[in-house]
Amino acid sequence: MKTHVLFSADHLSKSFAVKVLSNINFDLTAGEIHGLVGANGAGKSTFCNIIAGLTIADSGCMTLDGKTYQPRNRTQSIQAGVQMVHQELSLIHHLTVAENLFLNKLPTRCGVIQHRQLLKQAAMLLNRIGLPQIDPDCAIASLGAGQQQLVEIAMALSRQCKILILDEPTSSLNSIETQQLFEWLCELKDQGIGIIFISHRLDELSLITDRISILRDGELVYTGATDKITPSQILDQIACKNRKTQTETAFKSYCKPELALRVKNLKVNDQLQDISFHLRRGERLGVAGLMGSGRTELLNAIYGEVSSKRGSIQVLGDTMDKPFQRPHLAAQNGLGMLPEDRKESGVLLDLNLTQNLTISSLKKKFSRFGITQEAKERRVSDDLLSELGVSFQDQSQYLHTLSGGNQQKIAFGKWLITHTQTLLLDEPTRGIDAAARLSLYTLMERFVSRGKSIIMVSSDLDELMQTCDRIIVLAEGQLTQTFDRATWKSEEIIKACFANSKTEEDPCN
Amino acid sequence: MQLKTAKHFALHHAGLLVVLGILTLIFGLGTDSFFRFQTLGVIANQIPDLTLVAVGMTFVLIIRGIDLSVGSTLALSSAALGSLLIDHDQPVLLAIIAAVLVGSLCGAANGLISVKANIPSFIVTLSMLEIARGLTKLITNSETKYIGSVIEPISNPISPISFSPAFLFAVTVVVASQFVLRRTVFGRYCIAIGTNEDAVRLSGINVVPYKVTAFVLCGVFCGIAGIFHAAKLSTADPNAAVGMELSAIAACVIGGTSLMGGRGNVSSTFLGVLIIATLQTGLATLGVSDPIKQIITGSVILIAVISDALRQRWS
Amino acid sequence: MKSKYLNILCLIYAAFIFQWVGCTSSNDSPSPGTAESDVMEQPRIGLIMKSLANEFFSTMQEGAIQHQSANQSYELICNGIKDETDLARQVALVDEMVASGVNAIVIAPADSKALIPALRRAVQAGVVVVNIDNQLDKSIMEQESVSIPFVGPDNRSGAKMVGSYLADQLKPGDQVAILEGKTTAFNGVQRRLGFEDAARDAKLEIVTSQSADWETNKANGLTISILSEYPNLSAIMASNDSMALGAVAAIKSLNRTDQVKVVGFDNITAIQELIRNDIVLATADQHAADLAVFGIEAALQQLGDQNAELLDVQTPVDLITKETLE
Repeated sequence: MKTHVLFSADHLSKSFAVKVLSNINFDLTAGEIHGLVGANGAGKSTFCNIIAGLTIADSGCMTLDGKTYQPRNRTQSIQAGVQMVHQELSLIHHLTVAENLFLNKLPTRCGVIQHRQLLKQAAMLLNRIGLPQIDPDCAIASLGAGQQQLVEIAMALSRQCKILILDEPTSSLNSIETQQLFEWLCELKDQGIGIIFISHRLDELSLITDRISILRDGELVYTGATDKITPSQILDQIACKNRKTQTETAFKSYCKPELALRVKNLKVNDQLQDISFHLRRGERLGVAGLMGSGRTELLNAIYGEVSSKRGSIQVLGDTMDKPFQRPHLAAQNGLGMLPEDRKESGVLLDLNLTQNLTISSLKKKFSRFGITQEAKERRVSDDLLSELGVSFQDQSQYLHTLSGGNQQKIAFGKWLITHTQTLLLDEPTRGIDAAARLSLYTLMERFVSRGKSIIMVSSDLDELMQTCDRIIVLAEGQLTQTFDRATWKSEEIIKACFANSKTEEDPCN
Repeated sequence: MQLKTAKHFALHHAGLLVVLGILTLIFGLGTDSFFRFQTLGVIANQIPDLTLVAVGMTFVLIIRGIDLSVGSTLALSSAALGSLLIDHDQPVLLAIIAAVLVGSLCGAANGLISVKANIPSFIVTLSMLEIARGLTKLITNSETKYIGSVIEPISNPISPISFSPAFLFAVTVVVASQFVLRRTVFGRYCIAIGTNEDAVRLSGINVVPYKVTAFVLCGVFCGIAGIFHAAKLSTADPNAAVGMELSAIAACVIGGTSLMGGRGNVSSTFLGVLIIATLQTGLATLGVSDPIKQIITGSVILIAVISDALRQRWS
Repeated sequence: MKSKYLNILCLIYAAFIFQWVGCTSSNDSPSPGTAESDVMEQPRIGLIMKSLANEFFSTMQEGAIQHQSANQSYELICNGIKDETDLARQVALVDEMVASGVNAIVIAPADSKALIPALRRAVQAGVVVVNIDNQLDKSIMEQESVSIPFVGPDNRSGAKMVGSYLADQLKPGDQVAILEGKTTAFNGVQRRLGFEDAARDAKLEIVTSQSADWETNKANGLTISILSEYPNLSAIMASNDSMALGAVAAIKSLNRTDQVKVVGFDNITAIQELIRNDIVLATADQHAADLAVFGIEAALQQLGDQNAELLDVQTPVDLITKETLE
């Protein structure tokens, strides 16, 4: 192995509202595959974004090929030879492989694409970078997910490439495709390209990487040769943490013995497999899992947002033959939802506060013969707004004039005036300041104290451990473990999130 | 209360009222006949059909749809009316009911297909534009059908006030629709759906019936507009209202309705119709040459829309 | 709350009427549209045309404008509609002209039936109405109990004249096709009948007769399909020159210029070049530039003498061939 240092980072720090990266010292040598691993929010993406010029560090410096490297934007980093492949593909589906590869430099004559020349160039490129099996003239849509991922990487390589950053490249691949990708990465490595490989799959990391770096809470806690550390040691490093002593005293359970909801053998295509669990009245149930583990899909499936699913859902003793097909049917049966993306689908930014609060109950509670009763609406929403602790000037101000936290309180509040018995919360505190977060926890507590229940998805394990009676863990679409408040340990929950990895043979041997 | 409402109305429609006022002033000074009460009557009795169609279009635009078939639907309903009266000797009331029914069926087809099959309403109504026009020509045998005086009273001015029943009906529809939009569950949900359909659906509301109803409402208004159109011409015209969808959309847009859904007002749409009609009549009274007429009409639409956008920014 | 909506209703009415109030007082309008109140002034004549995008009608309008500027004895207001199917707009134009107080309306109706009720209202308001170009339907005028004089050419005999000239160059049994105008227009029907008369007299076989809505582009597409369906076709009789142009282009594109003859109607500038070059055989000139003038003169005559009888006036139609053009 060559020892030429290709890239290094020195005391790199970055904070948004809180510190997300502190004093990172990192180096990458030519011809190395360097694994990067950590729990949700450990700072992996921020770190990679800084390298790729998408985010600018607050302090610290970087070098590339021995020279100072300070990319201000993506274009500069691409010119410098840093290529990044995101988890979500950015290919254009109805164009061909060749067209995608050369999209920003199509060979043309008088504005007409030179099709034959384009194919020739594309074939040469695919050959050069070791993908001769892909036909440059077939549409992207006709390729499998794995092949698409390969084309995406080929696109990055078609530009000058010294460093390749791969963000969970195997999440959409089957084992054969993963195998293929690994073989190919080994070839690239031999060409002297430095690869940063982000993955949650520990077995993959130990197969393919030369060195591993572990991030925890914005700090680089370990860097070392892969063969010096075992997967279970890695897990310990990811999870082990001197947790601040939690405010255990504040927690009070309102859990009752009666069932509120029972989910049996819920299946959604290949995203969720055989999920079964129950929820008691007055219970707050947390759902933990890595990004892409099927957390959001689980809530959507229960709420009827996903149409193709199987299994059964039982609400307060009524057994449904099938899960709810549409959200309004779920709502009629006492379910409510706060979706993950608040601005896109959680609230109505261009309506006023009152209208947002009464949206779900307008027909039943605030209308007579189809005509709205605005005085009653205003009265109820006035009470509700003070109960929610929303700071506002006027009920008729548009919702977009409020802060994110207040918006979320209102999204929560609309379910308080319906007959909703169970609320599904998807990342309810994302992008919300600490004060609003606490008042949201209080609202949740008040909600369950009336014998109602909550299922809450969050990437923040601390949050779940602070607010929930029980936590279930999803990994790769399966429910791997259930933890009770009495016995849970954060390290065990984190380890459960990393379960279910596939095992493969080392392609480099 | 009266004063407050007046202020509210004036404030909300300031831009449009100014444009309308300027137009009236220009035409009034440019010709010696424009300020006659008779001219007002001519304008008033010309717009009932466009008003109804534009009101229907407003509802569809608010739920973030579009209905391109309004002109054809209007023609089809007036053809049905003419055919029943002339070819089948049916009573007037029955023919009128049938015409409204035809309109509502077209609207229902538009709504059900676009909402249930999740096809953009642009495409569905574009197809309906052709289909309804074809049916119209089939029914009328591509010939103008003379109906005669049986339905004329609908659009003849009532003597002391010089407004026709059709105009009075259209204004009543404007007010009633404004009420529906602002004060009913249906209206609230239409606006909410246009603003963010996903959020409404995830709030546990079945959006399908509301969206379909908006299209049906538009169809019903087109059906009634078809009757008014036939009454105005005393004929069922197979080429009636060709291109009216554009005038209706123009009226809505002048009135500040957003093509992206969620924003719109029936009363401002009505002001939009008035601006278009005043412009048309004024230019004809002046005898302006045809190319200039089109250029001026386009420019006024632009000015109205820009002034509305500026007012939005200021407030 | 309900009273608020009643208020809005009132306000809309008010806003609407407001436009006129305040100005009307200074302008005590003469009882509109009556001739006698304007004795001292020059008479005002409203000319209402069909689509001014059609050269035929713009020529007609220009003729009228020239006539007016040469005479200076009357005031002229010209208006047209955006295309020939916009009936509602033309009806509105009639009402608007009456409201603006013209003494006479000279109109080329876009539809021979639908305009009658509006014109009846105009006549009842004391306006002199003269019909040009497209003749109004007699039976409906009777139903509406109104009589409007037609000043214009006899389209049927004109078309027969063109058709017979064509027939002279063909032999009995030859196949011909007719391109009709709008089926709703009286002059279109008349021209078709004239072509049919000529074909019957010369024993030509009319294989098909279809409408291309007066439009060049539609005529082009229609001709291509007719030519491919009837390979032995000898001639196409187009009800106006715009459609003849479309037919010529279609014939050229199929390389059948030698086999298929074309005749038109209207004598527009574009067709004259084609006649000189033997591509089009003949057309009919109904003196477009003068058609509106004939109507205006009839109206002026009527205004000058209230007791004159309302009579149809037939204006000349001439056959145009290569010989007459030279």
